[in-house]
Amino acid sequence: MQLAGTNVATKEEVSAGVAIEGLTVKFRGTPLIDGISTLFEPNKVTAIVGPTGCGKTTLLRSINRMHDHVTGMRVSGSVVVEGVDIYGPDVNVREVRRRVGMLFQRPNPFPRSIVENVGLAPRAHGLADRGNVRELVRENLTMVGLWDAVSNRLHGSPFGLSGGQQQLLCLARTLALSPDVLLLDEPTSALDPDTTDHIESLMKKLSEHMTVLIVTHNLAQASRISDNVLFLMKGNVVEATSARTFFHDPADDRSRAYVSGRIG
Amino acid sequence: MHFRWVVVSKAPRLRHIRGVGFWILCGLALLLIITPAAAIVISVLVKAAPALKWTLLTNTTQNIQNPGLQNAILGTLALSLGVVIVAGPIGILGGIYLAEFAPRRLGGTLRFFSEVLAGVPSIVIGLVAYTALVVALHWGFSILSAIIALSLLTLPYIVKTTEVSFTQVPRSLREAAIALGLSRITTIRKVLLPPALPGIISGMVIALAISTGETAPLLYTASFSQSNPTAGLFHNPIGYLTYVTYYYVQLPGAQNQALASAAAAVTILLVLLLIFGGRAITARQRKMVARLDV
Repeated sequence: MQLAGTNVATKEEVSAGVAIEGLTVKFRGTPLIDGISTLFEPNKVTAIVGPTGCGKTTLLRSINRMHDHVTGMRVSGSVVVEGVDIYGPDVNVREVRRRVGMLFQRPNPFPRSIVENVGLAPRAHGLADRGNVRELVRENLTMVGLWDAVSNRLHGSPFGLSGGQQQLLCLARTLALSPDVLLLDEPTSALDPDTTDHIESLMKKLSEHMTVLIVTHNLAQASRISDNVLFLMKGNVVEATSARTFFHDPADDRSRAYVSGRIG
Repeated sequence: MHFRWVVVSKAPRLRHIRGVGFWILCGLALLLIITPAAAIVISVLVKAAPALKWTLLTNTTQNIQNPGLQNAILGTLALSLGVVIVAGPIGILGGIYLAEFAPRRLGGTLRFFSEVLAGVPSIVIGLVAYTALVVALHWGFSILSAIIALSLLTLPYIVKTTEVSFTQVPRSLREAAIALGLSRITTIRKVLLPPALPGIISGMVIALAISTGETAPLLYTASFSQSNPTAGLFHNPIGYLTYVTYYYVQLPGAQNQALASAAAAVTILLVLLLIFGGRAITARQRKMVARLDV
């Protein structure tokens, strides 16, 4: 992968994490993200919050180039992941997505066996072969705490699992590629409280060796798990600060209004 | 309490009568479907009864004392196999191309031509195959001309069902595959194909049912043979069941009439086997797809 020349300075400042510079995302000419610049610290959980339609998900999806596949979406500006502008020339998009994993709002396991769900992508990326894929699958299912529940039905359908277990399976599927950055798009909004707790504590643990970004509508969740908060409104950054500051002493009046529930 | 905005029927009994009336209409409609289907099968079987002997499977139509259908059954199976080999891959790849790769405008054009092809009467396809393959290319009446005619006829169905099966796969699965950095080919093979497979197989079954039951294009291309199919692709007429039904019913003699009905019965049986076979193959996958969160 090629480094983007204009972002060498950024690269020196952060050895890892995600640096966004002048990012604009337009859909058929209408800006959804309007020239955002911000920094997501490595090994931290950053919550992206804001009212509906503020561009949280759009921002998240531009960090692994999900917009490439949507007609009418135009992205400009730079997103530097681990020192590489992922929108730069000669970037291997599949490798970008390998390094930037994503978990969606609703569980979306493949209609294949549980073991194939986790093992498919590592095999496709050449991170595992027939011989050691089993070990990789076991490791990742154990990591998300699903191994004991599925170890005797690895070749069965994932649709026999509960919604929460399916989401954990999807998380294991993403982690199996050892990403540097993990994007979570309201990952617990469709889940029961127990699984939500479980996923929240997993995020803390995962942030020890990756950059974790979570879009959430749930302010309580944001305050429980995040180290930093990025507050967006109408495609612009209102405030990017530590979670403590955001929830207890926000600088912007709109942040104050949002935290207290007056807008949102 | 008086809820003005709740519409309460003035006559509950009227509602009940309407409900019963609806069910009676449904029942009648069902009967209208079942009766002709049952009548066809029963009348064919009754007329075929005198000819239903094991020799049906062991003798060819050539046997004058005790004619059978061996050549026609084998011919029909050979033609169906040919359709699977020729139209199957082309149709499935074409459908995948339309669903996954084709640019909007080109896709629209291809779809249009596919629909036109689907609308061409089978006898016209037979005529074209006759002039182009049998005559112009000097292939003669042959199994290959027949297979190509049948493939042209069934291709649009295979293309359409494949395309629809792929476009109906939930978007969430595509997104998952994209987010994992899977290549397009891997996504198609490993993620989209399994849920699309039952639909594709249904399309193949329809195509095979059509080619099993077709007569018109075969008259021009396969002609007919009284003996069992042989290996030659060119200048080699081949027998098939629908010809026996079409031709033998015109011949005098109870034996010939019964043979025509027996051929019809075997054709129906083959089509039913295809349908149930197709369902059996896809049963497991169907169950999994049914649980997909669309």
